[in-house]
Amino acid sequence: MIQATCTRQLPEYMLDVSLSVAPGETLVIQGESGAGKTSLLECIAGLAAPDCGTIIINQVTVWSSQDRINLSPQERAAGFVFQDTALFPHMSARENVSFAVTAGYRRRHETVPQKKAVAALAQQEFERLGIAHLAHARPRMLSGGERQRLALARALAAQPSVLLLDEPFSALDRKTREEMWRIVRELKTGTRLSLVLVTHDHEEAQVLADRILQIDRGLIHDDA
Amino acid sequence: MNLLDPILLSLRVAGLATVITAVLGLFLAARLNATRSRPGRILAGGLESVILAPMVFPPTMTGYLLLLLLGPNGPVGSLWGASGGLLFSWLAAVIASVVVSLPLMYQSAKTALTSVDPHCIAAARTLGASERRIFWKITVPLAWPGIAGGMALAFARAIGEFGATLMVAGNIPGATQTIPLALYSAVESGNTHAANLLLGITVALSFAIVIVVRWSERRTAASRAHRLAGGGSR
Amino acid sequence: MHSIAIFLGNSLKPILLATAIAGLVIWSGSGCSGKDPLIISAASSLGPVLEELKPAAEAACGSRIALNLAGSGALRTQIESGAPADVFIPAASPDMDLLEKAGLILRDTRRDCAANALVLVSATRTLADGTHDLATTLAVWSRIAVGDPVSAPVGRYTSNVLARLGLEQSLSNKVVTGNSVRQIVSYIETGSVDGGFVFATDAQRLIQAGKARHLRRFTPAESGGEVRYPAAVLARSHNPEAARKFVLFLSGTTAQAAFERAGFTKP
Repeated sequence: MIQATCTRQLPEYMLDVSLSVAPGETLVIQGESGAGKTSLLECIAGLAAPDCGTIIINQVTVWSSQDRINLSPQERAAGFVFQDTALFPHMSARENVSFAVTAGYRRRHETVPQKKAVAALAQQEFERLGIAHLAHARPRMLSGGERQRLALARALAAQPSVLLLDEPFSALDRKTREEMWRIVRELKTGTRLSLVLVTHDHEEAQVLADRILQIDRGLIHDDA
Repeated sequence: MNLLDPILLSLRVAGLATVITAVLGLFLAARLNATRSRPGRILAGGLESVILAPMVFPPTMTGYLLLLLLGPNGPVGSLWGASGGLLFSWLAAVIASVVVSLPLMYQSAKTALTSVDPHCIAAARTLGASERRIFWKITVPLAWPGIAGGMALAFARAIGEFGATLMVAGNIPGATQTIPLALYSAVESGNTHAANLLLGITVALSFAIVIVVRWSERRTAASRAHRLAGGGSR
Repeated sequence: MHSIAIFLGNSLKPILLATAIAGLVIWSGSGCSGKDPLIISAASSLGPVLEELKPAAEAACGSRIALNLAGSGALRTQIESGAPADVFIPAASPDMDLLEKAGLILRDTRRDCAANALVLVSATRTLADGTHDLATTLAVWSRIAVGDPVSAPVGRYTSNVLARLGLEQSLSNKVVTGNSVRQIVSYIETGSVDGGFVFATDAQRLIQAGKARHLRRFTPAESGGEVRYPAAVLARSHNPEAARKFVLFLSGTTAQAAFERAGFTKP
């Protein structure tokens, strides 16, 4: 669950947005490039700071300009899927996901399981996303669609409380994109994970969203 | 002229100096470029100038400054306890080599560390990994070719170090006479045979180092190409 | 049990690194065992002859000897900054005078151990004989190597000679300046010049190697003073007794014979 109000000075205009996402809800933020969508996501994740505002994730205030609260991205537990996947190129697919599994345990201050258990948990994520056969491959050997699935698997493996996706499928071809939509909808069943997905594709918004937010030039146009 | 002494001594001095420079250079490159606060950045900029200064000074000037520092009346030498401070010791030779090779290591490490894909680091943060874990598991492995290249350059500079070493360690065969000092002595005394041999060894070492640096350059370029190619779909 | 394993595993790399460094440090330092040797800071030109005399010198003064060879100016700066040398032998009196004035030497130990003379040699390919007078001989040369009076002592003596013989003008456009005696020797060796002004010790080496021919040796009166090598015990010496014996040894018959063989003259 997310509640966010932020203002941030961008190169072209001022971002001034207020939004909320219920548990288990998928909010799609749509708009043209440069409208401030990525900035908004980065602020929620803690990768960038708004000038002013308040951000609350699962009833924990992670950012408040008034009370001078600023939790690090590590503490916010907001999973992030980047447009360029940001996979670790020097690690195999399994190592990428295992890294996330152990990071998640450490973040929650729980004892990290043994290597075998971690590998099993990684395997679970692989199977969920249908890439179990790629465990030993390096990211550069994978296709675009496989990379995005791996990025998703990695983000989920850390057991985040919310998931933020920044135009994750824009570089994929039509067929792969439809496949990814199906996977996302499957992922949502049975979880209370709040999703915020940014896209400029109308159809994608229609397919995935429970609610759509239009952003134009830093301001919200529509809340449908 | 005994040629084995200077060769072994050079390897020991340059080896130890490179290890110290590698650790120090990596640490400084990481810390000085991570501060966010304004006073922190000003301090970092000042410290960086001090680190890089020996690259600008002529070696005799670096040698003279070290002489002042390490001599029995200097701030460091007076603490050492020996009657001559740190002068004429192999440790002084190591210090001289560290001071002149540190700028090279620092620059290489800084460039390598700052050109790691920031999205990878951001992704690691969102996964919950601590800054220390990110540094050792993500940043350093990805920056490794550049760091290794820096170490090779540092070793090359340390092995060839002459002016500053002569001043603070002296040219004492068997104790502080490294290859460059032995070469200088051989040339000065007209011992062309020894001089040519030492020259040959120096050239061979330079080739070996250049090979390592070229390898690291290729690895860095390759990993960068992969990263650029791997951004989108295929 | 498991956590100990993880702890050791994580600490293994730093432990290995620390052990490697410690090993290197111990290995590097192990070269300096035993009693401290006597450190002789001497001009590089004295290197070969002092190396030759080392065993006899060590026997004479009862201590191991370590030679520290460099330019006289650098050696003097080291001593002024507190370097732990025991004896100083520069290639020129002024360096010793400065230390004496600063009270850094034991004045009663100072004595000249050797002297040198200025010599004109011709490169082997040059046609010249010593019978004609200097002006005539040099008139047919196109390039002469000369030391820079500012940076090289040999240059000072050379310009004195040229001034005294009135040859400065006629040779001014043939002069190739070297900033050290070493450079002049290289020019002559490689035949880049027709000849040059060097010290007697350098001339001897060049002639013995077949790279030059002796033309003329200049007296102290002509060169404006003697080229002296003063030796003295330094005030800060940690073993002044042995250092005194060393300086005395340099004036003894064995050492003087060695100096003479190398081309030096009696002080």
